[in-house]
Amino acid sequence: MRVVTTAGLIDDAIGASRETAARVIGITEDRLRDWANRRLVEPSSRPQVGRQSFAMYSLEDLVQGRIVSYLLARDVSARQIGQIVRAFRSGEHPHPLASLRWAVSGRQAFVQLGDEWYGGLKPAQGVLPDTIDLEEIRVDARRKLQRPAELAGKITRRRGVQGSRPVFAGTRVPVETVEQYLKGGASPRSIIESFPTLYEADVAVAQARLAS
Amino acid sequence: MRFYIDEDIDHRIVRAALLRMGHELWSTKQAARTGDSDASQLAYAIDHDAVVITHNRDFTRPHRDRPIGRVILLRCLQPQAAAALEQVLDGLVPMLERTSDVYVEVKQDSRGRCRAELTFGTELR
Repeated sequence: MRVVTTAGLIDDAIGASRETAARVIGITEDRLRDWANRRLVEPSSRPQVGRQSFAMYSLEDLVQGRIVSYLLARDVSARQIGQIVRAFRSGEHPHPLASLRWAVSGRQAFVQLGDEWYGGLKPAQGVLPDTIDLEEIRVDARRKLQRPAELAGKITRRRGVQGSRPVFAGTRVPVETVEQYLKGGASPRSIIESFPTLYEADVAVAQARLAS
Repeated sequence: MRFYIDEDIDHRIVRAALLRMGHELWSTKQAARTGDSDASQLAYAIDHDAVVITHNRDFTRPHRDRPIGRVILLRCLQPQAAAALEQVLDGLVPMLERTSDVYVEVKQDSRGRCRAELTFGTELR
């Protein structure tokens, strides 16, 4: 049985779009495309429908992206990050930044394999390696993978979603569906159980529309 | 079988029905794909060897003549989705297992009886 996390996600079923992945990592979609070209962070799969292909990022892709972002902010060069990723990527470590222990000292990144630190030189004795808690990054990524709370109560139309009919922003739930449930006497709580990407504010907006 | 549940489906009742029938299922929310386009959802489902279940008539429109992937379109009111699946799914599963490209439209008459219409994109294995 698959493990469902508290965020309602199934870790090994996560296939985030480029738009979502960019939001979770905190960069633009163009930047993420550039990182894929440099092979810093690549989508785990690119399934096709007809001639169209879709980048899909796994949770570990996203964790790797968050670490790349962190390293760049610590002034480690993209070139050096690329070197580390290429040198340590393997079948056992498809996402070396997300699965190996590593550290930053000065503008240099280090990776630990066994008892040795790699990355050009070993950290100087007496300098504590500045390690990162990967589990914390994973938890934060899971939180950011959810529909952003600031979209609650907003209605939008989006090409390719429900034939461009009004939906709650950031979802594929038609406003009309919730209105039908309300007309049928469903409570807001039961509507959210039926359509778990909705927030209370969405149901409130549908109620207000019906009342007006 | 594996089913990927669209966001316009009543998750609570369909989840219960599919689990009762012994199937595996997950939703766009669980895949971190809420709000993404029909075409990308279809690509995801194909990549994960899953059958899409949706109420969205437009989902299958671009490829209606030559289906790509496996999609069940429930043309009934949301609250009746579980009952519709329970009526037709046991008969459909052997077909779904033998092809990679089929669109199924489940229609309900005024007495609540459901009927499934199948359009194949590739032949049965």
